[in-house]
Amino acid sequence: MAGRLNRRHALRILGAGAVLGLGAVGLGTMRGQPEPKVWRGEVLGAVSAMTLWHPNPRVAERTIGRMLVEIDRLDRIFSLYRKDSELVQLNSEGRLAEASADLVLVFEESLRIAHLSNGAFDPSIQPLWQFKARGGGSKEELGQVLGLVDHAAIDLGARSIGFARPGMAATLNGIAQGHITDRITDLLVNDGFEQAMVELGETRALGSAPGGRPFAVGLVDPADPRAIARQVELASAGLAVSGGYGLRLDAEGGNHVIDPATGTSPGDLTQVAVISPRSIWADALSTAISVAGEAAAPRLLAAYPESRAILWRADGTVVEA
Amino acid sequence: MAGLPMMRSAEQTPAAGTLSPVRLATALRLLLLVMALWLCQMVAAAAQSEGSGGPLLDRLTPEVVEAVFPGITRVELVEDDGPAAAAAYAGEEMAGYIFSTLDVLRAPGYSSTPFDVVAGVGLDGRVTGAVVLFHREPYLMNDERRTGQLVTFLHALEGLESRLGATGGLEPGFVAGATISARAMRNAVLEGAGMVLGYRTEMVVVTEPTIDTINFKPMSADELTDMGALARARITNADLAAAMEQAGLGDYLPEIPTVGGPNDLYADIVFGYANPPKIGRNGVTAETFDQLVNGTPEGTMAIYAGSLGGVFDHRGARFNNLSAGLLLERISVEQGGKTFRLHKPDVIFSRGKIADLLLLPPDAQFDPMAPWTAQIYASARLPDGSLRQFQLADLDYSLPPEMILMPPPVLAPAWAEPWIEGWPEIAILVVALSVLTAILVFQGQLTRRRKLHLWVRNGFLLFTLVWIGWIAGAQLSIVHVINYIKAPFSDLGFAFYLAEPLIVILSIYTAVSLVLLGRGVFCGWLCPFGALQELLAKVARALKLPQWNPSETLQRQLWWGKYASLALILVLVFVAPDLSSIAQEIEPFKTAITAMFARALPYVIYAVILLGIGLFTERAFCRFLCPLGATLAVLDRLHLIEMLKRRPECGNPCHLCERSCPVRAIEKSGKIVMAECFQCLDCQVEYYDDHRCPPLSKIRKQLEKAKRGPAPARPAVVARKAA
Ligand code: SF4
Ligand code: SF4
Repeated sequence: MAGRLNRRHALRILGAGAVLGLGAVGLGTMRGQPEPKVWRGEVLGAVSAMTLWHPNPRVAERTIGRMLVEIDRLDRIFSLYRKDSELVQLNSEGRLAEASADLVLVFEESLRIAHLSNGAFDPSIQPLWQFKARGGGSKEELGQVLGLVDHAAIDLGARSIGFARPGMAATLNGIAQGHITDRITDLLVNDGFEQAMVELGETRALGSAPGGRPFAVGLVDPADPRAIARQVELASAGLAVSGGYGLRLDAEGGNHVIDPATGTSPGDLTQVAVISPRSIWADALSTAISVAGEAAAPRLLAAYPESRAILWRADGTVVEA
Repeated sequence: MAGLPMMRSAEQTPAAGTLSPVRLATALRLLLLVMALWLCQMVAAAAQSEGSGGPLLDRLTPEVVEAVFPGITRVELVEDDGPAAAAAYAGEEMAGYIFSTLDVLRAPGYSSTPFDVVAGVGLDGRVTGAVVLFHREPYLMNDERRTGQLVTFLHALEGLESRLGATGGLEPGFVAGATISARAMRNAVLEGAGMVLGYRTEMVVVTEPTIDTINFKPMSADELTDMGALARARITNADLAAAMEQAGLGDYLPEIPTVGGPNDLYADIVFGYANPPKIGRNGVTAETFDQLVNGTPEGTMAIYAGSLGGVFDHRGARFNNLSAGLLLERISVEQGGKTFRLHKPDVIFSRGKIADLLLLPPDAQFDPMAPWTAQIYASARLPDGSLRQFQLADLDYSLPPEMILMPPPVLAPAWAEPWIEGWPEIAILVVALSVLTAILVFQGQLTRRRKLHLWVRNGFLLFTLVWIGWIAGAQLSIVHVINYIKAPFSDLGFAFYLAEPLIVILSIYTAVSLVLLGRGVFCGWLCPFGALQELLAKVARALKLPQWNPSETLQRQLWWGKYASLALILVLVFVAPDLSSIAQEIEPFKTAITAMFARALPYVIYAVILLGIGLFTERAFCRFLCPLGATLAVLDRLHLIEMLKRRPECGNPCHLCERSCPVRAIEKSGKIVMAECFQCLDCQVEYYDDHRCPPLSKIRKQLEKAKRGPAPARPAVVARKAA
């Protein structure tokens, strides 16, 4: 047949090809720069948002609906406000025989950073938190509570989690949000999304902002939480910030970063921002570095690929690690 | 948050007991304030004789706020169903509530017109201060000395616990000469503060229908009767006579003589289940109700019995000197055949009101949720002076739903939301699938009409491409198949998959059609990218572009291409998940359909090339490369029904259908390879075309010849029959 290709045929074929190409480009521009679909709400008590870019807005909308189903499932595992959540059950019973893979994974990551940071990050810090929230107490009481904070006393099996000592309890605040953020981002990738901003307690950029530039995220000044101290560029990465300016817990200047070893708030760094491929790592690292201090940062960061940190020192200077 | 009230109480400690200069000054300032308010209130009171108060926020002037809750910078009305209150903020921090006893309790003092005392309560449960805004208490009106004492007295409520019966502060006797008013105001502040705070701080979560023992709202007996919360017997003298007549006592006189004519009231007795404050607290006095709540064992049930008028009451003539243990002979309660008679110790009675609580212990086997009846007995005096009881009234009671807290309705599961919200899309798809089903079921009738088939087919393909593909974005893809395969290994709930209505419906329809008819139903009718290729191919043929198709042997080999691409993806999914997402780009669905070509250039070029090939070799991608098509083709082997018609002549000697099949799914032998058939029905149009299908046209020609045959032959036959 090829032999019989004459000029007229060739022209037609070329014409068809051109029309096809133009048609595709035309359709493409019809849906050109998509408007983002935004969802705002609350996940595990944190103000949350998902911003999805997709050429077909209905697809983005429906995807958000499905992601909420998954968020709901994860909320039933990690929420400290649901009486029947896995974490609450674990804390009240001290052991879970059949934990979900999500809970196990978050405990794995928590214990990994706990070991690496020699306990600067410690998921078993919950009793100390509660002690602080109650308004503290005497030296002896503090000593008792500190005795309950020990990540090495958490037994993690393939499916089971348990505490070696009665009275122990865990908090996954932060790191669980990191997991949820990762999980949703992964699902979006699997659904073919190429651009999204996922802020479910932690921040993670999927791809880059429209126009191909990275997302610009403002970091507040720890000395003046109303001012933006610095912009970081975020593309296909997660960001977590630990700082001492948040919740004030006691009158002695203690803040929401507590050193599990002493029960006091460290003074070395005022704010730590970590950028890492996964939000769960970013959260683990930022908390651990806040407590362990600047000196520990390089070693901790080295354990996680492609992770870097921005540190605010108490004297106001900012360094990158 | 706890810092605020604590600081203040510390500062006040040295002043406790004595009137320090600071305290005096405060009291004086308050006095002035109250005097000023007084004047306003006198005017206002004249206008509103019932002292209805008006909106709470209007009454909370800065002076009032400062007096009842020092340090408050902002008040905000709380919008909930609880006792009316304003949230009080110190800066950004919420510190407590400010409320009016008039709104919350409508409690009267010595006068029957309820007074209005505004008070604050901190989040720590302590009263922060109280001032009177309005009253009609006779012994306080126009009495400056007592008014001053009242101001000091109310001011001394600060720091008291917010519950009726809390101790501390000054004794009501401090306001000499107006003790009743002072006590009533004090009680109203303490009780109201408890209600205002309790409603907002005690989280009431009910998991089953539960009697509402929390909420309170002032309500009159008429309102409660209308609601069914009270069963009421209003008995006139005439009713009494009728009841006596019925009991065969018509000739005698009642024990309690009647007053007035037949239409005058003899008794007005109400019954109700008392534990809900809306019933009990509105019926009996505050102290009586408090005794039920705080002075009886947990689980104690109480029935409110009250006499609102008439000469006959439920207590009985001997109630006041009834020695302990004696029976209340005029009333009984019955439920499910069990009768409860009550003795004096079972009753908490109110002072100043014939309103009593009849106590039933927790183990009384009384179910307040179930209906019950109350009986009222009166007596007739017989000639010999003895009394004969008869039933005066029988009241049916069941607790109205307003008094029962229902558990929150079970929220629709999260996956249901997209189904509810996406109903228009779901409806369109369901209609489309019904049409498709009809097409397939009635394919015989459809394919007999070549033109109709053409229109239906092209119309449906256009719908599939434009609506299913580009508008709804519901292109089924290999990604869905992989997700379903991975589902058992992932922790995603089943709900996650259910939350995609269009995809779920299309998947189910495809699965069912695959089992019944084969791969072609999806690929031929429901795949937007398939539709795009086929429509473009039709345009290409209309433009007379040269068409090329492989030989049967070559085609057999090329068919393997799609199985290879499927295998590649499947292996990568388990071996290298990251690479598998790249491999999934083999299908250009995302580019051409979901994203409508708004993607990076390499993807667009790839999709355009595939479509370009399709111009010359119809559905080349479908036949030789598509992993989803391969998945369906593999499973096609299972299908149960063959609907496509064949004749013995198909393939030998005839090859018409074979050539008509746009995707060359018909072998030389005439057999259709169902795994490659797209159910387009083109071959069926040929099959029924008696101008083109050779065996059929032969029969047609024979018939026509017969028609045109020797003219007399047939009429002869007919004629013979007719004869
Ligand atoms: S083979 Fe693939 S592209 Fe073709 S119709 Fe089937 S699923 Fe669609
Ligand atoms: S022409 Fe017949 S065999 Fe060919 S795809 Fe259409 S229905 Fe199937």
